[in-house]
Amino acid sequence: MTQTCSSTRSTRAGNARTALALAVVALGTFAAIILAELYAPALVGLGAIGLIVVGFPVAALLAKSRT
Amino acid sequence: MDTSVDAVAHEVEHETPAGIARWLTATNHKDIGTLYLCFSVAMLLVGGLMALTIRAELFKPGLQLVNGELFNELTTMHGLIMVFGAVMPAFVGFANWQLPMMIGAPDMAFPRLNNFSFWLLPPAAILLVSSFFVPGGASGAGWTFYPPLSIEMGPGMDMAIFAVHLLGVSSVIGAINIVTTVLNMRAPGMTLMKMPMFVWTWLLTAYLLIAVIPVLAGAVTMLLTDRHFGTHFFNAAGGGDPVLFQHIFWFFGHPEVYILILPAFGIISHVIPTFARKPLFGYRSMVFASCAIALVAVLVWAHHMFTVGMPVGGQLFFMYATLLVAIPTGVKVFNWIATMWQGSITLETPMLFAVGFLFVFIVGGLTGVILAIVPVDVQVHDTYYIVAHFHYTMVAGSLFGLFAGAYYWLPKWTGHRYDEALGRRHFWLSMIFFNATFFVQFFLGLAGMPRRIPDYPLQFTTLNMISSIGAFGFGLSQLVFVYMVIKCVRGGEKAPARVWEGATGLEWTLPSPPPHHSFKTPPALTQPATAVAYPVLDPS
Repeated sequence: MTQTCSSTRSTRAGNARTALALAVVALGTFAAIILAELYAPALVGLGAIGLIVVGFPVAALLAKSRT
Repeated sequence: MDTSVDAVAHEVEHETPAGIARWLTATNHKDIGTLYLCFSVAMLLVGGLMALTIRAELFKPGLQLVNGELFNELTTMHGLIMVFGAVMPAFVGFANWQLPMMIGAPDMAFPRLNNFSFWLLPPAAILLVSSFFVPGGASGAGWTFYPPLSIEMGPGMDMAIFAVHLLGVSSVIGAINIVTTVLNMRAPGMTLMKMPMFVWTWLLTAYLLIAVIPVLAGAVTMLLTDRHFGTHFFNAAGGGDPVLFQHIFWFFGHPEVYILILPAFGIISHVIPTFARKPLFGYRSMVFASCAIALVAVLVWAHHMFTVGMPVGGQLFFMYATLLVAIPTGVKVFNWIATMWQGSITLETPMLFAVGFLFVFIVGGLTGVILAIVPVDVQVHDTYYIVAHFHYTMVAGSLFGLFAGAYYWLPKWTGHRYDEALGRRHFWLSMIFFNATFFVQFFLGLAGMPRRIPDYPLQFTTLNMISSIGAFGFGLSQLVFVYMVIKCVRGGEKAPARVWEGATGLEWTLPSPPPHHSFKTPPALTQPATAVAYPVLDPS
């Protein structure tokens, strides 16, 4: 099997999309932890971040479980 | 042979430069894996030297070699260097070498990002080590950076914070690369439930890294603004809450423990079936147990802080949640033992380290269960019992897992078989001296010897002497490993494609050493990757 130019391009685009989504999660968590400490009660901030941390891998794995 | 335009262009594009340029501009996953592993060994020796200085000081009561301040700096830097400089990069090195070969990919998804991710590490290491020479010395607040001490320390703390930022960025970029590679570049037919266990455990580890490293970065950023920009996140004098820092730190810190151990679980899940000559017992339960461990990892952070004065309800939640970790971990240990059961076992060095891992990791795990019980934890908090416990999980768990993997895949990487006699010596010396160092520390802790203190009462002398002698033996026995690796890289008996009789998986279908690009055309799978054993693919 040989990868064609178009399939290589689509793989690269898919890789870029995945990486972008993951980078947004990482940067979002970084910003959220500081903003939560600045503006929200500590428990709310920690709870929200906890939900992101637990929910993100579960959602990502479920979304990919068919492939 | 692959003759597409893309493939030809790819070949031209990837002509390997020679000399130092090869390593500075490396984009090949194997070269970058080698860089990570060399860096890790160098950091292991630096962190090890710090540990030996600490143990030399503790050989007898009184102050002999270092003052209290330097002692604190050494314990802090030993922790930071071993966790962020030695063990994590070692596993990333393994991931770089193995993941593309195990999933049938030509390389990692983002080779240039991979290079950038590695080259962030040396500046971070330089920052950490050189901080000893700035006014006030290196950070002495412990690898946990607890305020208020961390707010009051000199510029060495800023260097440590900046180093942690660099190491964190490197880890997150590396993790993004790994998740993208595993999710998008698997060979056709390799569904998630057909992936090798090492790939599974690294996928979960990478998710954990992406989720929790930014939390650490946020915590140390707030520490930095408290130190220099007049904020009071954690400064009690300004209305801040130092305990909040502990919550945030351990929200990162506990998953970090699993970040350091999950890839080792993956390695052991390959080594044991190979040398038992049986398929891994309960593959699906192993996958679900790994997922459960990763999930529970982010729910138990406050068991590190039972003594800060949290409500009873909180103590009970974190105690029960921590005890829950024993269930998926127990499933894994059961499955490894069941894999060996009635297997045709041979004890080559990788298997010795895997079996040794089981023994010492079980000690670390069981003492973890003991520490999860709040009243016990309160009694032994900040004693040598804790030091012994986490070294049984981190050194014996992670490091023995790494050694098992290194001996297992070294012939594949170098194309040469390693010196089996040296490997066995390395194992037995490590096993004996490791236990001599740390087993006695359980008794020191139970007797009440506090950690991070350079002096101690006379009644602790004998056990401390045994521990220090063990530490020097353990440190010196690692030189056997370094010598064995150098010898194996330089030459030796030629290794075949499938180095071990019982080895299965796509990486063994490639020649030893593997070609520059592992799989130019993705192999099509109709069965689990761990069932692929025999055909050697044409590297051209």
